[in-house]
Amino acid sequence: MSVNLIFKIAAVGILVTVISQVLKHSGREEHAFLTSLAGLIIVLFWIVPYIYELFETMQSLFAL
Amino acid sequence: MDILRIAVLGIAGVLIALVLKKERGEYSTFVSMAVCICIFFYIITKVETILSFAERMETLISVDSSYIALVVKMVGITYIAEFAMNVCKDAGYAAIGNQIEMFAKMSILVVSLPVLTAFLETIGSFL
Repeated sequence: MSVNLIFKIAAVGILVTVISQVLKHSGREEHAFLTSLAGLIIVLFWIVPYIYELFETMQSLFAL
Repeated sequence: MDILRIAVLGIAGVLIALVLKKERGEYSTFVSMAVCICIFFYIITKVETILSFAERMETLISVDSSYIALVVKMVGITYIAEFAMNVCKDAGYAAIGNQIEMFAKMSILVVSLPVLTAFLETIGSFL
């Protein structure tokens, strides 16, 4: 479950890079920026629950 | 045997982050955080066995249980601060990382104050 998270993030990263390169060369700078922003938000949505779960476990484990 | 799995996971994560480093720096930070979280889930099992051992030790030696709880709290604070600090330093922002480290040191000092006062009181009672 968490290992393929890494590959998903890598896939989104590579995809966004390629798309923004293509958009840049075809002259649409703002679209390139929007796609990279969208990719960033998607990855953020994936990783924030894991970070939340990490800190929840820490709190319960170490009785912080 | 799972140390091999951890090592391979770490190296694979580093290689993937390197691919993304040049074009998109932020994704390499995401990948490194994801790898840290994966390895953390393996650490949890080890920490649980250590904590259960600590509880068993408590019954053997008549140590005040609050002291062991304090030690465990300090370890928790250290681990979270270490995680956050290293993520910040990896992304290239050492200043923020050092602030987190300083806060962690202060909070550990505050947590350990009761132990210090108890220790000084016992010494005072001797004199």
